Amino acid sequence: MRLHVFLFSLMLSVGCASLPLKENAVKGLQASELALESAQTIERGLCFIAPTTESGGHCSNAMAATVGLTDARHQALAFAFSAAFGVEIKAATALKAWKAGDPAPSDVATYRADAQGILLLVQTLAPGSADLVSKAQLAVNEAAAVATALGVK
Amino acid sequence: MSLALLALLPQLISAGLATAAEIRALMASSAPGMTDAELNAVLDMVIASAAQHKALADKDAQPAA
Repeated sequence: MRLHVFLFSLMLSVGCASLPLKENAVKGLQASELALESAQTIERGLCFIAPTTESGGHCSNAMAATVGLTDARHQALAFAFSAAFGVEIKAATALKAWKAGDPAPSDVATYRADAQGILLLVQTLAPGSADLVSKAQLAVNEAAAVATALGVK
Repeated sequence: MSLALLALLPQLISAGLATAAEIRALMASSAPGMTDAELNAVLDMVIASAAQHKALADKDAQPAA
């Protein structure tokens, strides 16, 4: 385990004041973000031969065709991912200032809707990738947990 | 000192020295009861990681040449 990770773990273990609502929301948002990142990583792995170095609107990997991932579908998913990550950044920023009793930040509801939109897109555009659908579903579930923690209807 | 280190983590993510997966594992195993400042530091990490992935998505959303 790297030093900074160890130090971070140590710091978390000695946290003091309890902020259960915000903590639940933060954990949910973090989990949703990770699931969304995983979904994007899987999609890029299907699209590119070398996803760590390649980018753009053209899929170089022959595997893309086997799950129905055309260039146009890859671009549509990338556009949706960009929008979702953008709203998530806004939601996280708003959550930093949020206190128990405050109205839920509107970006949380928007993010939940965006995550749901990505799930629908994935189910429609790349139905052959069960892993991708699974991660998108997880992102939705965790986004819903954030909304629930903050009292979003 | 703790918060100073926490504040550094978003930069570590941006530099590729820590990942959201690592942070997630730590969050899952941590004891409840984080302070507001600690929660905000975690949110800063979420923001940093999301920004990296958004940048990738923006490149991928461009029509093929």
